[in-house]
Amino acid sequence: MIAVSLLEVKQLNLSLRTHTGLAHILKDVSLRVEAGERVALVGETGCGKSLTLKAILGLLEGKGLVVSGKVLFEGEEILGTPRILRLRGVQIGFIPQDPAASLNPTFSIADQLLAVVRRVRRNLPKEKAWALIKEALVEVAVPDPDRVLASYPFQLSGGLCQRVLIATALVNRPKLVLADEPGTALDVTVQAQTLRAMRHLTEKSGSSVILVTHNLGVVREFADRVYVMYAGTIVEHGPVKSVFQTPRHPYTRALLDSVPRLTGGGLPQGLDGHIPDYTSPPKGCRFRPRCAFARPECAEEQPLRQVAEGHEVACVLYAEVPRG
Amino acid sequence: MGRALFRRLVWSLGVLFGVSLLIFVLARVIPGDPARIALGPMATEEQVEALRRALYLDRPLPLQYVEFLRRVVRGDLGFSTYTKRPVVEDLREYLPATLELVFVSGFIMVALGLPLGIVAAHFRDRWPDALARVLALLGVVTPSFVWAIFLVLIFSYALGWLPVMGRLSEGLSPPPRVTGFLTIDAVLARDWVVFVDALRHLALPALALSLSGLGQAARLARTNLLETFAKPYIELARAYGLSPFAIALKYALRPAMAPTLTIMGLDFAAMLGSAFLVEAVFNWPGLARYMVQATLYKDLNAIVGTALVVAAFFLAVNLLVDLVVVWLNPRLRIQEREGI
Repeated sequence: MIAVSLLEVKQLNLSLRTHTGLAHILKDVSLRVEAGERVALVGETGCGKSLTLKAILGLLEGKGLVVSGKVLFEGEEILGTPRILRLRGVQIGFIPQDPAASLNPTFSIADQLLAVVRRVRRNLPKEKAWALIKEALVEVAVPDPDRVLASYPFQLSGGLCQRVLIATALVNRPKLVLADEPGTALDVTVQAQTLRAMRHLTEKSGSSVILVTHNLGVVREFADRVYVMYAGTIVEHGPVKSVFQTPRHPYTRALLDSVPRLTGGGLPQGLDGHIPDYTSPPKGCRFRPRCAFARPECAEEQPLRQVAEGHEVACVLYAEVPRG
Repeated sequence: MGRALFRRLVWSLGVLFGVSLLIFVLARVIPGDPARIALGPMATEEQVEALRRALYLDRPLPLQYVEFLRRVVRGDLGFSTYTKRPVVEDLREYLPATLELVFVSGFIMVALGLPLGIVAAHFRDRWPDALARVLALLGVVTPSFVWAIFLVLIFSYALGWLPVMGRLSEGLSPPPRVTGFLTIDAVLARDWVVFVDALRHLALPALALSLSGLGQAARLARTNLLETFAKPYIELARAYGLSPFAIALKYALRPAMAPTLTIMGLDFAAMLGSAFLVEAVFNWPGLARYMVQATLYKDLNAIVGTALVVAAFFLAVNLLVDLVVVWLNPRLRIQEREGI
């Protein structure tokens, strides 16, 4: 029997009808998450990371979007099927980007947490349900959980809202947690606490995580494997160690070079240009127009090629050993 | 909450005071001698003079107003020169008919307007939405007395389903008066024939009166719901797998409701004004006829009394809406509680 991945995304394509034409946003995005694994999806703003998460959850239907491909959860197709409706909030937890705007201002924290608990334990007596959500808040190190439960979102700080959202995502012990840049809107210390709490909890419950981020420091600290995304395509992926030590794709290198270092070596290198227009993306490698090493053959489709154990890159330079 | 309520009550009383002063003065600057109009051309000068004295019209305006206020605090609005009865008694007779009409209209506005808006928002840009929007717009742009005439032509003359005039069919005797609302009194008296008949009489005028507010309610509910649907917390509710029904009717409706309700409250209060025209079409024995007669006869006490009642109704409805909005919006509720 072949082991089935917890989540497998195959050839996910996503286009959006705009007034200037069809925008091809995601192109052949494939990724896989094993049970208990923490995977990071990294790339600059606007490269389709959040859309990938929302496509997995089936949240993009009816928004003028054309989605194709396969999303398998424990080997079963969930893309465009009613199965995803049963998984949401139960087997797949979601942590949104903006904590303050993601909680309903007219319901108390307890109401909002209970709604998610009731997805699974419909008939749990009130006292037990209350104990459960209180425990969920204690787990994410919320001080004075009773007060927080009785509060409304606007009475809480951004950091507290973020913890509440993490607690909500994890309260049903999902097998997979999709985290969309949690803590980006918060200051760095709170962000670090948030990530630590998430790491601790998912380790405890054995949940897998896909963490979307543009912060490479977070990737190094948090993830087992990393997918590097550029303009709606996966350009490189592999174990964090391997990708960070020997980045093959010029975009991955540029990303790593743009991180400031404490050990000197001058200012970090920025990357000129911006993400292409999705209505007419460049043929072949989408990074080509910004790439210092572009060659004529980059205009052809670049398949992912294995360069090391579990480490693949979509670049003609795959064989070259990176500098440094 | 208590302190805020008290503050609003005091404020409402202040507004009422202002309205009374304004109407009091306005009614008196219309040309014509109220006493002469009331007694007719055949009355002697002595009789007219006596009535003027009885109405305090022989005193300076400020003194008249002070006298008026002294009586108002005792619940006395003076007597009507048209009906020759105390104004309070007239109001007791005519006001319930109008209020019954307005309350049923308000009920129709909420019971049909909100669902229409919810359906429209749910089926955004599809045919149910288009239909709901056309209906809502028709409701808003057509004056209620035009609706009244249309409805009478269709349901009374063409189809013959519903009665044209009055509150009760001839031959039926009204139930013992408790509230003055025929429907409620009929229920209290267990008189179901009268109850059904009163409802049948209410149907057309109440519908005509409600349509403009109904359309407005539907449009507001739709707009506010769509705005709420676009919020991150609604997408998150979907990501949590909450049912579309719960999301539409609970998690989106509550935040969308507060701005909708504020305007609906104003529309509801304004119904008392539009009711005057609808009452004229349906020959409804309500406040409208009384007010029109009072104005034509320059019946000072009746004019001021009716205006005060209308203003008080307006203020009461607004106060109630404010309270509901505070109850719906936790942010305001907490501010109120902490006395900010």
